[in-house]
Amino acid sequence: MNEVLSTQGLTRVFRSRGVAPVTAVDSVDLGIDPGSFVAIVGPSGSGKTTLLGMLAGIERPDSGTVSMLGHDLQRLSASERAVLRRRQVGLVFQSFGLVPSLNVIDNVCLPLTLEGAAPAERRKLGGAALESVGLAGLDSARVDELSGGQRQRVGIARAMVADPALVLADEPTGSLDDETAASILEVLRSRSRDRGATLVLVTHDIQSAREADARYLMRDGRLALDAS
Amino acid sequence: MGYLETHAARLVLRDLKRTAAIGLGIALGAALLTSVVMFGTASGSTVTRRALAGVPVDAQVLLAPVADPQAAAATVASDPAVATILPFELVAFDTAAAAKSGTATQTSAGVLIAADQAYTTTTGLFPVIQGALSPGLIAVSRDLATNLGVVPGDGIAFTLPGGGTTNLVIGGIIDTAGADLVLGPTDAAHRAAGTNPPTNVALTDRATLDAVAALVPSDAVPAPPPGQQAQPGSPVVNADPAVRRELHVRYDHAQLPGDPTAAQQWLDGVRHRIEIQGAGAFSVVDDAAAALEPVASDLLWGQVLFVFLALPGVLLALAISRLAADATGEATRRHIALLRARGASRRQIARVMLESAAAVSLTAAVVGSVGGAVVAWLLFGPTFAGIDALSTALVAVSLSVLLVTVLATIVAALPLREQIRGELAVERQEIKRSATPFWQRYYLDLMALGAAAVVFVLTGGTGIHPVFNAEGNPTVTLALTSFLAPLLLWVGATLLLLRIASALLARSGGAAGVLRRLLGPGGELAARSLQARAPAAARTVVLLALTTSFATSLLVFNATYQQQQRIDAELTLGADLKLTPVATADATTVETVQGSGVLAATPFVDRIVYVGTEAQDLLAIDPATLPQAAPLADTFFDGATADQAMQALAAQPDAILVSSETAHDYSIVPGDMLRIRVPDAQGNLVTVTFHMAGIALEFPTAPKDAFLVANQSYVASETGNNTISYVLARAAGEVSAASHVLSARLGAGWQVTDLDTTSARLVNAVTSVDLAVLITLDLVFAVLIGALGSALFLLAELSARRRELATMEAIGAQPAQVRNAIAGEVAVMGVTGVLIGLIVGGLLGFTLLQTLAGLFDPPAQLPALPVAAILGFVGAVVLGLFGAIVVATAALRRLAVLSALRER
Repeated sequence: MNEVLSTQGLTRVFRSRGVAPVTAVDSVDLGIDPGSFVAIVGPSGSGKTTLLGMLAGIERPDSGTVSMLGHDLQRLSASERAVLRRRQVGLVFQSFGLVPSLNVIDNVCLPLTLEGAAPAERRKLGGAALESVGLAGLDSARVDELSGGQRQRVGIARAMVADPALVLADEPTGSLDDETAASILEVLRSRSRDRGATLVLVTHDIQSAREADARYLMRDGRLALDAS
Repeated sequence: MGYLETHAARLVLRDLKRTAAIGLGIALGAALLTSVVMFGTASGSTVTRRALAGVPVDAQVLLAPVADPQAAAATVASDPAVATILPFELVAFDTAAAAKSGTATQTSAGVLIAADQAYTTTTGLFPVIQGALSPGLIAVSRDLATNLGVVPGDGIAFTLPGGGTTNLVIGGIIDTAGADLVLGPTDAAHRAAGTNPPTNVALTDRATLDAVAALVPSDAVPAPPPGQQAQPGSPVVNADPAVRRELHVRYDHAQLPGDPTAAQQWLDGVRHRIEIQGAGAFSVVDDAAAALEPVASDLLWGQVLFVFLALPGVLLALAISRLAADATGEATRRHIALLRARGASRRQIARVMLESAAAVSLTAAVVGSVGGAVVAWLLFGPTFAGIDALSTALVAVSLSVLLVTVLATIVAALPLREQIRGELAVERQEIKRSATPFWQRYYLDLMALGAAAVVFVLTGGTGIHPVFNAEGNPTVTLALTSFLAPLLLWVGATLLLLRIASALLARSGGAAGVLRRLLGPGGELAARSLQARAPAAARTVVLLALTTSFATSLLVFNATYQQQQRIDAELTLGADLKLTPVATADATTVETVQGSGVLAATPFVDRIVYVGTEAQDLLAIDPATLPQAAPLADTFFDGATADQAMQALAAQPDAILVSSETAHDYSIVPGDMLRIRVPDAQGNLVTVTFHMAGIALEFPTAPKDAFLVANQSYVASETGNNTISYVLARAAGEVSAASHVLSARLGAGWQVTDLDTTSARLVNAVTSVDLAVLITLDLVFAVLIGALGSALFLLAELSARRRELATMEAIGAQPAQVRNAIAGEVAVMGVTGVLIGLIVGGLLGFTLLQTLAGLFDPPAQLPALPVAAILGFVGAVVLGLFGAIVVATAALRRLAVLSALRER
């Protein structure tokens, strides 16, 4: 089976004047199968988010390669990587990543808007995405009127609205209470599973990764498969 | 440094871009204020020099009857301030009568004076404009000639104080313009009472006057001028003796302080010094100090006006600072949250915030003020002559730093209370809902506009009124209440703009389709963002609108002022260039003038003629060539266009246009015959018959009251006098350049006067400083505020929205789409702001013109619209905004998306 996402020798070193270089991600080799649920678990500062950024094509590695759906990200321009993300990747952020100047439905439909979809089609797909995360009827609400859990559901709806092949979630429950976190995780898993999307979850919470098909542990930039 | 001070310093230094964005507005405001204050000081030097340039004599030394003139002159000359001493004598007469058989015309009191040719050359006073002054003869003022109906060759019998009489023959006519102080009373009581100088004046040589003076008893008292007889109980009596022997003194003006008040004090000092040296042999009347008196008070009003014209710029600059602070308010809120988390009390938090705001304000105000002082020095350096430039700069900088620091700190402190009170949860909100501001709820914007209209109507809309002061000097009064109208209009328009812009932007979702078609998905995002951020975006729109309106109103005002000054100069000079032959010349000399530097030229004759007994100016012209060389407007003529008036002259050789005053005084209408006495080549008056062809309200070179316009060829043939007074010419290209070319080409045989030089002379007391320089200064700052300020504010705001932009990039926005989104937002705000600003600016300009109407002579019928300058300003703003887009796009390319997404 072709891997939906793979890396080879992926390395990222942060250099600051007057401070010793920090290797955030150190020679990571990874292969993720289509439709699977993969969790990357590690403590704060272990390099998880940097790794996820490189997997999404947001962060450029110092060395190594990332292959997404057969595309070598290092060979693509910034614009091509943006189009690939928009069409094939759904991103979910710990701090929700909603655009405060847009209302709920406009936030959800942002990938479609950027794609140039017609307003009617956007409304239809956006409404369905909102309904699927249990927020039907909140189309015109402003994001600052929503609770943390609701905001994250909007983030998930936006990640799913373009029917991506890959969902990358960075600590999606990090800002939420336990009950809300469990509910959000369930929504994320079920929406990904229903659409056959691959879900990569980055978290510091081992409990959140319990049901993953594969769990990787990250520490000091190095990644290892958790065989337990 | 304590714990709180450390926090304050950290708040300032942690985000230097934010600090710079806030500080730039403050610095711009301080720079503008400093340079305007320095301009006001420099203008003191300008008005002093210009006021004294119009004074022919700085002081009159009045010799006591027993004083030795030679010794007195030597004593006066020994003072280091004295540059020139000119003898002058005056004998009052009680009446004058035409000594012609069959006439019984007599006029009231006047003066006989003696001054030699050197006096006229040095002071410019009493030039002979017709005939000649030979020993034993007199040259009389035009008023005396008119009053008695006499001409050169006639005799006048003077009755002197004490009853003596003398008969003298007229050799010529003199011009007494500018001689009021010299001829007027010398005692303080009469000067303070505004006693007019005599208009019946006769000039003669010293020997003749000495002979006349010998006929006046030493105790004789001259009769007061008509209308100034002492009333019963009046304390004012004629204190001047019948015979006055004087030394007229001109000081070394290089020693004069620049400030008019300081100059007055210096003049007082010199006067005292000379009087002490005289030890009773003479006293000194200070004409220069008298001339400076109205200037000093006018200057004060002028300086108030300068600050008023610059005040909106200062306020706008501070508004930019506030907007930049608001745009980067997230950093402030984070710091407040941090302080609160560490247990700081509200009072301590407020102290940290105030200290940091004051530190930024003070630093920026110092930097801006010093910059403003440098700009002022570069612009007005030469005009600081006579002023201690360093102490002036120090005063201006200190004043500006103090005022701007206080204002900026208050502006920064205003939102602190709300910020500190806010709960953490609220602080985390990225867009806060706010209640409708109280001014919107109570319609304070409409109330301010209504009040502006009421004040405008009640004050008659005019703030400056030309008046004459006690000494008869023209001065102005400035009714500050009239400035309430533009001020209220400014405030009302600001708030109304804010209301309209918010409402428009809140509905900008409808523009999403248009922007999508223009800019793709980025354009649609721009429209949606503007819709959601309407209140914040509205403030940017209003800032642009106010800056544009400020600049537009200044440009309209300046263009109208220049236009009116030019019209005034054109009417005074007659054309772009006035070429006066030194020797006698006839109309054929126009050929000499034609050539490089000249587009068209026409001969012009200005001759004193007599309509009945009244002396008037006859302007004899060539109607075929005058319209090409001199400006003629249809409004110059009553009931005819300029073309029709010239055709009427050309069609009938004896046609004559008369002024409306002449037509009224003599009850004549077109077609009526006029017999006018015109001097021939020998100065003898010849009666010439004309037929009235129309009424001229104004005419190039004509005086404001009575004048006549006729065909030059007809006047020459009827009088045998074909000499011309001068040639009027239209310049080929730039006037001053053409003037230089002509001066070089024609040589010493011609005196060349140009429009630019005349424009510079035609200024009243308030505008005797170069108002255009002040306007230019204000405009430079308006451009800086409009372009740089708005650009910086946008950049600060975009910097505050970097997480939002990072999010967009992360979920798949291409760089071009993000750029288009930013460009779309900037374009909508820019176009809306500039358009509203142009409309409001036009309105403000019109109001300003009404308020300052007294500055214009002739009054402006319509405001001038400087399209190119306005487009230039708009271009500068557009360039600034475009620069902001370019810088923002470049910053986006370097944006670390992951770290921006992690920011909380």
